[in-house]
Amino acid sequence: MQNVSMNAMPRDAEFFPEGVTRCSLQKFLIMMGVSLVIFLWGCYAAYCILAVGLEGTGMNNHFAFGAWITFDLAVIALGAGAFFTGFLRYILNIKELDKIINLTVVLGFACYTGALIVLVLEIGQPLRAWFVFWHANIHSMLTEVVFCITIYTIVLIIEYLPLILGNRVLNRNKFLHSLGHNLHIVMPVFAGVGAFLSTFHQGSLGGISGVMFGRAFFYRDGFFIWPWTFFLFVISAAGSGPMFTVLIGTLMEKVTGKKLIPMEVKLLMGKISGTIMIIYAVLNSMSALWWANGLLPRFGLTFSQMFHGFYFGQYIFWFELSAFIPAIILLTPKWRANTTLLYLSGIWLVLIVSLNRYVQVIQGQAFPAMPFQNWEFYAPTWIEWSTCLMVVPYVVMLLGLTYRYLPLFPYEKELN
Amino acid sequence: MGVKRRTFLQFLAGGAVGTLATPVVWQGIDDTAIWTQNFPWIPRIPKGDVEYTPIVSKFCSSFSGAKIGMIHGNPVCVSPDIDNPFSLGGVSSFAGTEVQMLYSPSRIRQPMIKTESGFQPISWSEGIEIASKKIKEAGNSLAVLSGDDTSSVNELLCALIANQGAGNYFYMPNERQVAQVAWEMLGGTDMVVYQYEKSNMIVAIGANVVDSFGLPVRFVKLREKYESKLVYIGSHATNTYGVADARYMVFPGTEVIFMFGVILALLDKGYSLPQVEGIDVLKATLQRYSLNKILEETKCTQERFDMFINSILQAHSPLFLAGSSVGSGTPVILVMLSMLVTQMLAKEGSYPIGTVPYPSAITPQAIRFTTQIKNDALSYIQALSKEAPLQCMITYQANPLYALPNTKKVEAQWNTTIAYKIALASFMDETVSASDIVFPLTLSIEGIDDAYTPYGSDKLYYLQTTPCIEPVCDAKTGADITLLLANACGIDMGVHSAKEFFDKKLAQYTSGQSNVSAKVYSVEPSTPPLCSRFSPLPLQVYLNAIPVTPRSVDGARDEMYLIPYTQQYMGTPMTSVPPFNVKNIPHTVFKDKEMYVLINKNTAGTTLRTGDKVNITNGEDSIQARVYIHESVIDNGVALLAGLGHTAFDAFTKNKGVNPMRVLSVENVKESLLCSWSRNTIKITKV
Amino acid sequence: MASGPVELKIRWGMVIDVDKCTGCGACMTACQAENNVGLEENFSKEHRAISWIKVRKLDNGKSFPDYDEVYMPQPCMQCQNPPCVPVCPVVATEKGVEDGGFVSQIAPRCIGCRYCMVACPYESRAFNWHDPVWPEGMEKTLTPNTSTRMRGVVEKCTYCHHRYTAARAKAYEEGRDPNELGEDEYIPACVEKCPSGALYFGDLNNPEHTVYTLSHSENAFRLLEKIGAEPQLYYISERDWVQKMADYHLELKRKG
Repeated sequence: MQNVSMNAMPRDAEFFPEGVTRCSLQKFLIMMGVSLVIFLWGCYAAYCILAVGLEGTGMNNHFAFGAWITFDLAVIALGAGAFFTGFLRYILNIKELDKIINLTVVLGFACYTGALIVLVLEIGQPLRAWFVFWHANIHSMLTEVVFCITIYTIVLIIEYLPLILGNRVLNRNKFLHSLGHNLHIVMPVFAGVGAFLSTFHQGSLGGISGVMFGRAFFYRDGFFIWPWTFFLFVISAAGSGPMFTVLIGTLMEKVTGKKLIPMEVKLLMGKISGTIMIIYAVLNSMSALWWANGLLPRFGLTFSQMFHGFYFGQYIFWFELSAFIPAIILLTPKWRANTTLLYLSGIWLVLIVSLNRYVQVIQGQAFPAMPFQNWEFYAPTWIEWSTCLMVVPYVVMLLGLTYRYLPLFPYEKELN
Repeated sequence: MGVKRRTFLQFLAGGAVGTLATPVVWQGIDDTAIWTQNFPWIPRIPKGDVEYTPIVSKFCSSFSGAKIGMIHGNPVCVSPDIDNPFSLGGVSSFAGTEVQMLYSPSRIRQPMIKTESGFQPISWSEGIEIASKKIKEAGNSLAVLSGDDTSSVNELLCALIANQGAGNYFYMPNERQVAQVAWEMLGGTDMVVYQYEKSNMIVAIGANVVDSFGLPVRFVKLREKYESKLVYIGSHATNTYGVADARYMVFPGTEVIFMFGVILALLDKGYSLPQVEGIDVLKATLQRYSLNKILEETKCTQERFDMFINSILQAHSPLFLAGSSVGSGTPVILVMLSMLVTQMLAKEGSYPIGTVPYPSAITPQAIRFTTQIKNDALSYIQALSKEAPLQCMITYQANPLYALPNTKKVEAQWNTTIAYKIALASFMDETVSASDIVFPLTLSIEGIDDAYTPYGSDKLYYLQTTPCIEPVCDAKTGADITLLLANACGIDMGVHSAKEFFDKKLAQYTSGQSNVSAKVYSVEPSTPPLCSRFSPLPLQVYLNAIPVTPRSVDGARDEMYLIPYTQQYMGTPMTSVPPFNVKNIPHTVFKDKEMYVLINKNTAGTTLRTGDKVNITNGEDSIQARVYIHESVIDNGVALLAGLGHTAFDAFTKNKGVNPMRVLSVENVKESLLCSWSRNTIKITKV
Repeated sequence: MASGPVELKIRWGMVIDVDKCTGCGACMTACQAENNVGLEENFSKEHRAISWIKVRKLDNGKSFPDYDEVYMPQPCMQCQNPPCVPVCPVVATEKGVEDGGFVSQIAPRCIGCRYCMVACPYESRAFNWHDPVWPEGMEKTLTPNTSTRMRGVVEKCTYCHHRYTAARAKAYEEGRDPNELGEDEYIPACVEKCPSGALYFGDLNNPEHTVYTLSHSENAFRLLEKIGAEPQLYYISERDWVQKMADYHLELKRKG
């Protein structure tokens, strides 16, 4: 326990969680300020889009989906730690996960709201976004995605609420305290709802590409109305989400100089990721094999025709299939216990999932659908980069504020 | 009384539920969505039915008989008129833009005079007064450059300057000019027309007959009607290549040599050249060429050459149409040889070349068209001197500062050897920008104009446009402007208004005839006699311009030939590319604000790849472009789309791309014959 | 694949003879004017300008004298089993069954997600990357046929559906059955304006229409037959290489 004199306590110390220390308010404000500036730069880029239309992006009539969709898919996949950890904690009752569940929720919330911000820019007519609810097309995967993402964000808000109400000052209020307490009790319901919604929208995000029977690169056979990518996306999200949370938590530890998550919990998350990813690796390989040898020839195509140059090279495909390696590392206790290997595997999984989303969005459009076309290239403009990357300072600010004022890590006191 | 927290929360909750139960929120978001359908800054469409009026328009050189769709008196579209006997229901991609071009951002909307601060508007009376003063002061140091060789307005303009004792009347270089000079060199008289119905095979040498040579819309329809075979000979695959029944590619600039080969082959098969004055020069030249040498120079194989010869021997009176890929600069000798071969192969009673009388003037003092058509504009401009500048130049529908080769020289001459420049134009092009005063012209649907037998016609045609609206800006017809100028100069033209003039012209051509329909009057052509001479000058001029030894194909990067080519949708030098047509320009030739030239794999070799930036120069001027490797060009050819590279006009086309006319190689800059530019050697260096 | 092709009593379709097409672009101009398509100053940016019909140039990749090329106008295929219809989240595009198989695109409904654009392999759809602009005065030349669109929505060829409704109205006025239109009564603008007569239009199911005969010719083919979209647009070419290029075949080496 650090011996800190009263005079050196930050000015907002009364809002801190019980028994923990935080850096000075000035240092914190500087960090938040820098993040805010970057975030505002992204807001300016967003304004350029909302004022004029999507003219300033690098997308075109051939490349109708671009960085934003790729980013959305990736960020939602990585934010899946929220639903999966929630499922494991509240439905399967793995109590150990209490030590990290808050982080997964906040990270999930940040990822989903970040994705929604980007989605508002992505659709050409954001003021008509409600049409998806009012004029829903039940056949479209995107309808399912929008429905579930929106409702799931509400679930995340509800899951975030107890954490906010857990703030030391707010918690003094009887009403808010009892509200928070009651929410904790009903949390399994929301976790269950969240898990259900998430499974479907994570899957539908995969379904978005898999149902496009006009495009051989994207299309997959499947089970009933669900193409194989539906299942692969859910599994890869569930597999990489937990480790992503661990990585973010570890990053926070490095920045704050404190231990925030017990090692056993990190290892548990690693084991969870490993278990899911080994399933993913097997199923993904099967799907890839079928795609290459069964499906593509039906379209008159060969496997090697699907790749081109550096940005669409075959090496990306093989890298995605390498999910076996980090999965096995995470499943092997002595390797898992090696923190370097643990974090490396986490990064590996994050890369696999992100590249998979990139391939499923960008490479598929780059491939010439008609034989007389050529491979096309797409490069995001500064507007797309800034609006995607502004989610990073957004996450930093959100996590920063949450960490500073809310009991994000319930075992922080014990660990330090 | 304090509000309890619970009450407050209940109030909030109740308020939220209550509001949601009212239409306020729902109507609000629905209204928002409807507002997005009706952004106030996006124009609304008119309501009502479109009514169609048949018209004749010469906006496009393919001369459309079309129907203008109007709604509430506003023209909105150009539709085909299948009842029009001239265009037979065809509307070209350029003609289809006339309605929108009424409102082109480059449209000149009122007379303008150049001041220190740029062009300023001026009233018609003031403008005419100033211009006529300049014309009177010029005396006989006066010239006209006309870009429309079909219109009777030429007659009025010609009379205007003739009254001052000036005879300098020029047309912008065009294919008709070359054809008429060639015809005359063969002893022919009158105006040449091509009787497609007498032939079952059209051999297009360099001429892009289905897109930008002659009357492409009519040609395409007639080809279908007469089921003629189409053969294309050239060095770049133009539109004609794709739809031709047979194609033969020759090394750039060797079309004349190819024709030598054809004549030699025909002579070998027992055909004979006409025994006329001057033919010996041709015979002597042919003796210097063996078939092997010809095949080597043209890069045509023996097999394909034999195939071609067999096909023309089996055809019924094949008609050879020679032209340039860029619509100007065809060597006279090429057309002479084409006409000669057509004559040699013509079956009895099926000579597919006909003649019609030249247009005759009703305006006193107008010089005969036969004289005008032979004047070479480029050599005239280049011969002007600073010491004795031309006092006044009138341009009518012409843009020499863009469309003439030796562009840099022309620009310099224009600005330093011509004292005063009057432009009659519809759009703010390069020449107008460099003029001193400009009078806006109406478009065909706004004002009356006429056309006499456009080049490529199969008969004598007299067409008058049928304006269906008042000019949308303060423009007048060419005839009106000329009459105003003449009046102000105190010249009596014999008519007092454009309407009177065109009524008289109509009467001149149609009096006593009953086959006038929709202002399209036609007369069957006469069969001309066979050629009575072979003037050797064009041949000698052509041969003197090249070394006798053939050029090596494996030459260095600088042994290249520029092949500029036109496309209908690119518009004309006076209109630039209409805003409606810029989307037609393929991204293989203009992408991301960069121009691309087409070079084949063999030419590119290992040193050039698609995307490489190159400098192209003819020694006098240079342009820069990127390379696109494509097999549609023959070895050592560099194909470049003409029509971009404007430095005037509007945001759609200003400062985009490059103008190939800048780097063409002009031969024979002498006033004794027309200049030509068909062997455009250029040097390419990687930047 | 997806729901499979719909059964259509009347099947409005096009046949394009690429051996006749000269690549003049009159069809593109005609469509632009007829349907009030927005203009594009920055036209050199690839795949950005809106064209409901695009004239493509295909070549066989060989050198002279074996080099060959054709021009291939490509509007919307109006597929019987459209890949774009089931994916739209807001039902902004639908396959009309009663009226002859138009794949409609309703701009005020579209939210601009562009999923349909990715789903369509034919690149038939275009997006309004900005609000459409017309130079001052040129808005007077807008036709009453199709509403102007706004930024952020997708648009595409409708086979000039407004001409179809006008033809039906005319038939009705004249006391004829609007369901039995002759092939001269309803013609899209591009077909009407083509100077070389390379475009044909009519009811593919009606033996009295030219397109019926042409679509059954041995030289008729459709693009990407293998995906099962069943386009209502046939191409005709006597050239083998063009027919081969209409789809991927395992033995065909991809060019470029």
